[in-house]
Amino acid sequence: MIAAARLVALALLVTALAMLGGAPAAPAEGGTPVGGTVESTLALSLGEPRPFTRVSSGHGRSVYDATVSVQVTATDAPVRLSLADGEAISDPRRGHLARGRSSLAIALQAAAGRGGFHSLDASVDSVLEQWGEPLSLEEATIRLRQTVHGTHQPAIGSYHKLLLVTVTAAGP
Amino acid sequence: MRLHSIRRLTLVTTLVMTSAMLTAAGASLAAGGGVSISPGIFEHVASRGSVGSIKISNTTSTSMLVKVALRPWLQGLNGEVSPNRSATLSGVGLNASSFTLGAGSSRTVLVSLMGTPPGRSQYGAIEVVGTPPGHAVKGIELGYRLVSSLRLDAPTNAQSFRAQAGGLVEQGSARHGTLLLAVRNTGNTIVPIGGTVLINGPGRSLRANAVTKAIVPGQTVNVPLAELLGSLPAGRYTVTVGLSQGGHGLGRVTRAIALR
Repeated sequence: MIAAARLVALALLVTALAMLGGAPAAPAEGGTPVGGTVESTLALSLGEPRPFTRVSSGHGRSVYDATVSVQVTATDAPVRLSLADGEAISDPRRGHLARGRSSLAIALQAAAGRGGFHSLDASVDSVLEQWGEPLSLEEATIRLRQTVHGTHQPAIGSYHKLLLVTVTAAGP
Repeated sequence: MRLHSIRRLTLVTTLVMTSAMLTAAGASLAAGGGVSISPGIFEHVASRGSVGSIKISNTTSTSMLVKVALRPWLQGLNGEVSPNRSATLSGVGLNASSFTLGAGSSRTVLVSLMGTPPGRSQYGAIEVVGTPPGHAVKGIELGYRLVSSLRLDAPTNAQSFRAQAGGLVEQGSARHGTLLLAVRNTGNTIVPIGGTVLINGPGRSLRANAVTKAIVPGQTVNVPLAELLGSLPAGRYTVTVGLSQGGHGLGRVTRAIALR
């Protein structure tokens, strides 16, 4: 991440130096053409996830929300943000919080930006946010939602899931 | 004199921006660093042997278990792609697929082609997954997953631009929705496929440009032809599509449709 920022910073420095070098020779009414190439790159930074807190309850149903902050740099568009299960790829526990061999009945959901929630048990990663142009240190917040039903609701803090925050650049 | 002042002001602004960006990068989220790969798109001519390398960097303050895999794309009918995590791309190899990357360090991974791929080209995803060491048993644990595009193109003289059209697809209400055409890429390039559209009916016609879609060779995508928006009265129409791919004409297809 810092490397990507340094690249951008380096480009700006090159611009600055070119401006210094070009100033005395350039005609008063003209400009100094500057330019350069930035190395094609894709970078992701993650913040610490904020733990689940209950946001609503009633009628035997509770809803818990958590958030994750991410920062993306990508030189190639379009750029897509999604979430993937890091443990269960194709079995029925995909997208479900688990504790040992048991897992919650309802899958985790995720959303970003103004988008709606997507269930994480889908066979293809749902795109949470998409950008149509290159990004530099673009920040986004992923919202996670877990719903539990029943009179004996489990303590979801004791459940676990490895989530892979996924950034895809440039499509096929 | 005034111009020099303006230049100096611009220069100062540029330097302030530079240092501000570095400060920003060193603060907030980026303080924890992250994972990066370069290049973001890996594109080379598909020739046997080494075809290039990717650089993976870990700028976090902890070591990271990194796994690199080459995956075929799963492409939906809407054109969206995601790596098929249950499969690996055949015929393409890496000199390292799993390793520990220390804090603040980088590693270069070589990509090589075992032989000439069928169809002379190979497309897929480079999937880099980074997870912190240890394994939490409670709560949400986060890992990094960066997916870039692997494009091993056929040599220019072996490129084939071809497509096969299927049936028309109506999305939404027939007269107010979108008209799409199922198109299969039977060529060997990833160059987007689009085209021109003429919808002809009783006393009314509509011209449009189809949305271009990058279709993985062998895959089928519903290419949006036109948004009807109630612009055509009910009746029988003939839809003529002139498909093209990167300036190459792929032929003309005609389909009939009844709009109710």
